[in-house]
Amino acid sequence: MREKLRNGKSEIRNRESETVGEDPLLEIKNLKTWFPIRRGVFSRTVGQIRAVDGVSLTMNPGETLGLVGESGCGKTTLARTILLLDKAHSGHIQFKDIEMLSSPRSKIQPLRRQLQVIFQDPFSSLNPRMTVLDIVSEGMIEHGIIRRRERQEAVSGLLEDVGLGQDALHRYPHEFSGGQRQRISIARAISLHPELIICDEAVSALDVSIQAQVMNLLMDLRKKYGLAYLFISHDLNVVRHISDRIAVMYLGRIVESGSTQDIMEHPQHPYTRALISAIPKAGQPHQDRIVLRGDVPSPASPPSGCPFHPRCPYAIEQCSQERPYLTPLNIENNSRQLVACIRKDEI
Amino acid sequence: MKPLLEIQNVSVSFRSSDGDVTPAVSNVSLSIQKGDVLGLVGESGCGKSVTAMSILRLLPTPPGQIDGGSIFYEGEDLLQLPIEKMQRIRGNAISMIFQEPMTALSPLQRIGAQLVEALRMHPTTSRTVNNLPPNKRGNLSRREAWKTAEGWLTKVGIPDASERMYAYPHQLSGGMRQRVMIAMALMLYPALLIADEPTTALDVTIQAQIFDLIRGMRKKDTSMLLITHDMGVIWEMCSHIAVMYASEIVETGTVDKVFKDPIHPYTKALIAVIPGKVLPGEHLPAIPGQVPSPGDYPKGCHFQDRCHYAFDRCRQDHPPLYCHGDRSIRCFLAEENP
Repeated sequence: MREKLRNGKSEIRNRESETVGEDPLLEIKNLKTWFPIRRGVFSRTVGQIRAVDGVSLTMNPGETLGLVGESGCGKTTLARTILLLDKAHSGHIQFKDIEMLSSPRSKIQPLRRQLQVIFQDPFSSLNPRMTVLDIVSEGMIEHGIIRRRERQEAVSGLLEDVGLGQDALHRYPHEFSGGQRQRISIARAISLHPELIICDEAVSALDVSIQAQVMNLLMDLRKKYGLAYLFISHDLNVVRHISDRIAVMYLGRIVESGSTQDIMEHPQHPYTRALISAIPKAGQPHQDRIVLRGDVPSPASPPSGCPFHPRCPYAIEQCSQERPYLTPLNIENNSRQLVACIRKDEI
Repeated sequence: MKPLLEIQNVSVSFRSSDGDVTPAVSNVSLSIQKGDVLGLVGESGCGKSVTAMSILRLLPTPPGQIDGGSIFYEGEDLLQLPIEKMQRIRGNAISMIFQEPMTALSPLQRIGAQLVEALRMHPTTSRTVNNLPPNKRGNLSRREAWKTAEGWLTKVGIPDASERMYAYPHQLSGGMRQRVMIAMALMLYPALLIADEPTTALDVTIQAQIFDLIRGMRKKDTSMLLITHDMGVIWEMCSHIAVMYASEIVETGTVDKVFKDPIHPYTKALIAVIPGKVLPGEHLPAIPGQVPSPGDYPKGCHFQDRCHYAFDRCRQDHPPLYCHGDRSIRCFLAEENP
């Protein structure tokens, strides 16, 4: 039955892939997620942490979008908002043809199946009291994909997909290493035949040799099932390897986005440039790197204008007054590289 | 030339309450010359940190126990020193930067108080106030120590140092806390600096700042032992490299040579797997299998199950560390001079 489902799905996908670019899988417009800061006896709201502060993004079916940024820049909050785990303050999230933020629960519930997530910490994202069989089959039974008695067979197939042996079925998460646990999380995510999987730092906690195994697995599954990934990581080396496109986030905003090649080879935004030059590159001649001054400001009181201007080597007075928006780098040749910097044409 | 620090055949194990013995470090030998930066690389649990902690004898015993070997620092075996004398080495001669600055700093004391304490606790060779006459060295008054500490905070790039001296660690960001640790480690002018994953908890742009700082602050003759899991960091920072796998050193050499021509299959794999060396989207040359858990190492070579080159002998005998010139490799394939 799984086969049937899958075949049906790939047909749909073939149709979709012909219309890539016209019919995005996920479209986010001006999304804001703020968390109130409460103080005092009556928990008065004294301010807002602007974790996500006006993000717009588009993802096509079957595409892998890498989202990079440093800790605290709002990557994870963005992911949690898309998954409706955090409440958005304002904005739009359209997944396929459903507006997720304003639709009633009954319309959203079936969509959740197609939107899955793999979390960073494989030690806290699996219930320690459930066996692998329970963990992986729970969602399928809940969503009525399989019946309870079919679950052993279904889970066996999934474990094979993710490179775990059949002996894993009746074991508990603590019996597995970090890499193997992440494979269990992946099996759980693909069990519902999703269209989009959000990988939130899915390989960051793993050792290098294991990290490569899991990345290979993710790339294989993407090919096999036509999955789209929103691949969130602070590690540009990893993101570069797996993504078709990259979006760079700083203090709750996207500062630059474009194809992986454009971003890695011709970064335009001063922050992207610094980020790329900061990666230690093994085996390549040592070069001068851009070392940024200072720390990332607090999202509770982001700087006025461009959020990056206090650390930016190119900042001028205007940068502290005017908020830059994502605009195409080169309007004439219709480039798909978007940069949020008012001086992008000069620097 | 005699090395500044020479670790010879050190083995460390941990004992659990029910009598199980788990080896953490087996027969590790390393040497650091004056001015060298030695990078110790390996995966989590391979024994890198335990090796570093044994140098300063910071391992909690029990459960930890140093089973054998010696660690020579300027001719003295640190493992045989009485603990009071060890206190003279710590900070003055060898100091350490830990991975997580939040747990390394006391949460209850202000930054300034912690720095002053460190300065006043280590008087004997304190060269911290260079403009003081030699006879006054080592007897820093509270006020002098405070001034010195404040000067160091400025040197490591902390803005408003005079105010930050009154801050508690939780009021500083991760990068700032790590700077405080660096100031604390460097202000005593140690001959050897041990940095255990100093930037792993930090973002890349902050990592770049910290490495820039360490590079600039470290005096030419300060040696360093840098522990990391990131081959990129080794390449940028180090002159020598030692690769550890499953409690053992498997390869050592200069960074240039090892990166250009890795010999041990594990080192080869580590270098091949660096993303960016493979075309985007292509399969990464991953190392198959899992790291064996401590105490469960196979007979013979510890890497055999994951090695493409393994043959019968690897399953029977344990390979010794073969030395060829300035390189050493723990692999039967390297028995003859390469």
